[in-house]
Amino acid sequence: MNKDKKGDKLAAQVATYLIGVAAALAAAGVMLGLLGKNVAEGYSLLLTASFGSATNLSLFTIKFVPLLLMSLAFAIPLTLKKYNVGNEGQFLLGAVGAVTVAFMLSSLPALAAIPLLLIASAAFGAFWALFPALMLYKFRVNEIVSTILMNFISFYLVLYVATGPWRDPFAGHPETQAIPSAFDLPVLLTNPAINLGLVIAVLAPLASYYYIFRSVQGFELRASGANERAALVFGVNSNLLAPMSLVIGGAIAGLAGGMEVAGLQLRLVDGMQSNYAALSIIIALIAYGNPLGVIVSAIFITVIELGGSAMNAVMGVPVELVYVIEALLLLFILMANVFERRRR
Amino acid sequence: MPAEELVRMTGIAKRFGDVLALDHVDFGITGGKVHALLGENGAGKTTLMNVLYGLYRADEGRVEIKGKEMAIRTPRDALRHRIAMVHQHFRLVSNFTSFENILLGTGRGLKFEARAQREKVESIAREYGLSVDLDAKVKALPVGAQQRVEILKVLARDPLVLILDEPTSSLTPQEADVLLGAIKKLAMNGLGVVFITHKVREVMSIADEITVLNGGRVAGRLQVSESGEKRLVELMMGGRGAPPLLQAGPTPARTSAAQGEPALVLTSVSVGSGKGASAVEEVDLAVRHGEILGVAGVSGNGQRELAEAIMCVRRAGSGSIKLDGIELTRLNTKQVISMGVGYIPEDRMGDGILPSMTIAENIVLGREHSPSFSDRFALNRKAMGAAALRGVEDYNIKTTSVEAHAGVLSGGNVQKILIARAFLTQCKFLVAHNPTRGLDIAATDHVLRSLVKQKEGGAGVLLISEDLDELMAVSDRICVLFKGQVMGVVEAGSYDKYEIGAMMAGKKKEASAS
Ligand SMILES: Nc1ncnc2c1ncn2[C@@H]1O[C@H](COP(=O)(O)OP(=O)(O)OP(=O)(O)O)[C@@H](O)[C@H]1O
Ligand SMILES: [Mg+2]
Repeated sequence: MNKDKKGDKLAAQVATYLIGVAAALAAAGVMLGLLGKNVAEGYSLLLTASFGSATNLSLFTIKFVPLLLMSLAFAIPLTLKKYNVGNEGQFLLGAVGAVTVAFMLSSLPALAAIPLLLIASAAFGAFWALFPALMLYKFRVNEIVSTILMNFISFYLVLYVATGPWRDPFAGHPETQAIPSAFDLPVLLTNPAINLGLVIAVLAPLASYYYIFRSVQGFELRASGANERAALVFGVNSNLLAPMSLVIGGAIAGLAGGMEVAGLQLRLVDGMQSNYAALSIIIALIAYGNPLGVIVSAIFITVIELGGSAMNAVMGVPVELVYVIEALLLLFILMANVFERRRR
Repeated sequence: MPAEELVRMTGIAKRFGDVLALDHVDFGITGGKVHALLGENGAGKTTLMNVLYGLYRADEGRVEIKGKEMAIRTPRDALRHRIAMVHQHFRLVSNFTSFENILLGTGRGLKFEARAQREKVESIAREYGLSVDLDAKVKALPVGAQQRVEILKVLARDPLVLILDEPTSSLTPQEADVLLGAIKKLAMNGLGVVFITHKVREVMSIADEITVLNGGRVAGRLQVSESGEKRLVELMMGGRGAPPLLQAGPTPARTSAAQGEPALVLTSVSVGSGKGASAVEEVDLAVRHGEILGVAGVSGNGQRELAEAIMCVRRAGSGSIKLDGIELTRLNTKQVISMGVGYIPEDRMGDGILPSMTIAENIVLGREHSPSFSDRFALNRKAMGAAALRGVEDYNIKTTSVEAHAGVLSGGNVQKILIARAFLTQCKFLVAHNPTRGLDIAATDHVLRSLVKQKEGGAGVLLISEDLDELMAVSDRICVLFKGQVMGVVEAGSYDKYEIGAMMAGKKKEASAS
C-alpha cells in the first residue's frame, strides 16, 4: 500500500510536468504559426536537432554535460534555500584552474594530468565560492548579492588570463593557446563523440542524490531547508552547513568549467560560460532541486536549446523565441504544480 | 429571542488520499449558542471547520447558511457570509504590529480606514476584556497575547459565526478564563460560536451543545445540561483506557529513599532575552536523577529562555549549567543531545516540525548522527523507519505511513511527533516544555505517564508547564518562575494551588513554610 501511494504521488507529479511541457510546446506552436512558419517542421526539428544523427547527438552531449553540472551546482545549496547564482563565476574559475595546471605542469603524463586538472578545477571553483560562504558565515551577507559580485570579478579574471602570457596572439578574440594534449579528456567514442566528461556528468547527479537523500549531512541540509529554526533547535548547525553547501556547489561548477576546457574548448576563451548559468537555474528550479529530476529537465532544456538554434538556422525563426519557450516552460510547470496543490 | 440556525452542514465527506477524514458528518451552528466540537487528535475537527471556512472543498455534502444552500469555495466567500475562523496555529505576520495584523485584509481597494478601524478594535478589546498592546510587534508578544490578536482580528470583521480552533491550548488557565468570558458574551450578543477544545472544564463552563467526532464520524451529540462531566470524559476518551493520571490528584510526598544523584545543576544562571534585559536572572536549581521538577509560571517569565539555555540553543549570559558534572554552557546543541538530553520545545510549528519531511525523518531529527541511525556517512533508513514505527504505535499517531509528510498531520499528531522524538530512547535528562499542548485526554495521559516512566528509568525531568493540575499530578517538586527569578520551590505532598498561584504573581515563598 505504501509503495502504491508513492507510485501515485510520482504519477501525479509526472502528470503535472507533462501538462506544463505540453502547454509550453503548444504555445511554441502557436507562436510559430503566428510567425507564418511551418509548425510541423518546427516540432520535428526540435527532436532531430538533438537525436537526429550521430553528429547531432555529439552536439547534444556538448551542451548537456555543462548544463547538468551547473544545475547541480545550483541545486545542492537550493536544498537549504540558498541560491548559488555564482555558479557562472565558479565555472569560469574552474576553467582558469584547468589552464593554469595545464600550462604550469605541461610536461605531466596523461595519467596524472587529467585527475590533476579535474581536481584543480573543482578546487578553483570551490575557492571562488569560499568568499561568499565566509561572508555568509561571518556577517550573514546575502549569498545572491555576494556571488553575483564574484561573477563580475571572474569575467575580468578570465580576460586577464586570456590576454596574459598564455594568450593566443593569432586568435582575434581573448583566448589562450591550446592546452597540452596530455590534458585533453580521454575520448571514449568518436561517432557520436563522447569523452570522459559524459561519464562524470552522469555519475554526478547520482552521487548528489545519494548525498542529499541518503547521507547524514544531506539529511541535515534538508532539515535546514524544511524549517531552519527547528533544525537549529535540534542541533543542526545551519550556520555552517549553508556556507558549506555553497562551497560544494562551487566545486561542481568549477568541475564543469574545467571539463569544458579539457573536453571541448581545449583553451580558456572569453565568454565560454555561454548562457549556462541562466539555463541551469531554470533546470534546477523545474526539478525542485532534486538531482534525479535535474537529469530529466537538463535533457529537456538542452533539446529545446538545440532545437531552437536549428529552427533559427533552417527556418529563420528568431532565437528570442527559444528564450520565450524556455521561460514559458518554467512558468507553466510551476503553475501546474500550484494547481495540483490547490486541487484538494 | 428564538435561536436561529445560522449554519447547517449535511453529509460532509472529505478524503485525503487513503484517509477518509470526514465520513458524512452533519453539523449545525445556532445563533446565541456555543457549540463545542470535541474528539481525539485527528478526529477531523479542524478539517470540518476548514470545509466551512472554504479552505478545503468537501467531496460530498452541502452547506446551508440561514436555510439557503451556499457554495463556500474560499475563505473570502466565508467572510462574505460573515463566517470567521481563528486557526489552531497562529497565522500572524510576526514583523507587523498587532494593529497592522488586525488591519490586514480589511482594506477596500487600496485604502485602509485605519483610524475608524482603530477605534473599533479598541472598543471591541474593551468590551470583551481582550487587552493587547496594539503597537507592539507580534513577535515580541507572548503567545497568550498573540492569541488575543488573532481573536480581535476576526472580531473586527463583524462575524456572525465564529470558529475557534483550540483557542485555549496556548493560554494559561487564567487567560483561558478571560477568553471563555468573552466567548460567553459574544454568544449572548447573538453570535454562533464553534469552540474546539480538549479540556472538559472549558466545555462544562461555556458550551451549550456538544458534538463529538471520532474517526471522521459523529460519535455523539448532546446538550451540556443533560451530560455530566464523567460521561463527557468517557465520550472524549472514545471509551477506552484507565482513568487519567490528571484525575488522580497530586502526587503524594516522596520517601526520602527515592532521592537520586544530582543530574542537572544550575548555579546563578542568567540568560538574555535578546531585547537587552535578561529573561532569566541568577537562577539556582538542581534536578536529581529519578525526579520530575515542575516549573510553574505564567508564560513569558523566562521559561523558554531557561529551556533553550539548557539545550544550548541560546547562550547563558553567566552562571554554570552542569549535567552529571559536565559543564553544558561550553557545548553545542548537538553535543547536549548526544549526551542523552531530550527536548520537547514549546512552539511545535516553529521550533519542532519539519513539515516537508517524512514522519520517520522528523522522529529521528537530532539523533541522525547516533550509531543507531547511521554509520559515519550514510543514514540507516531501515532503522529510522523501525524506530519511527514504534513511535507511531506508542503514541497513536494517526497516519497511513511513516513515510508520509509530517505537514499533513493534525495539530495534536504533530505534537505527538515531538513527543515520540524525545522519548526515542531512555533519556539521561529531559526538558519538556508544555508537552501536552493540544493533545486529547488519552494522549495527555499517555505523555504524563511516559514522563513518569522516564523518571523511573533514572532520568531527571524538567517539566515546564502553565497547567498547574498537570504539574501537581506528576512533579516531585514544583518551582515557580516569575520575571526570570525563582520565587520558591514546593515539595510534593504540600502542594497548595493558592500558594503557588501567589508565587506565580510575584510573591516570594516565605522561608519558614518548609
Ligand atoms: N492537508 C491534508 N492532507 C492529508 N491529510 C490531512 C490533511 N489535513 C488533515 N489530514 C488528515 O485528516 C485527519 C483529520 O485531521 P484534523 O486536522 O481535522 O484533526 P483534528 O480533529 O483537528 O485533530 P487535532 O485535535 O489533533 O487538531 C488526520 O488524520 C490528518 O492526518
Ligand atoms: Mg485540529
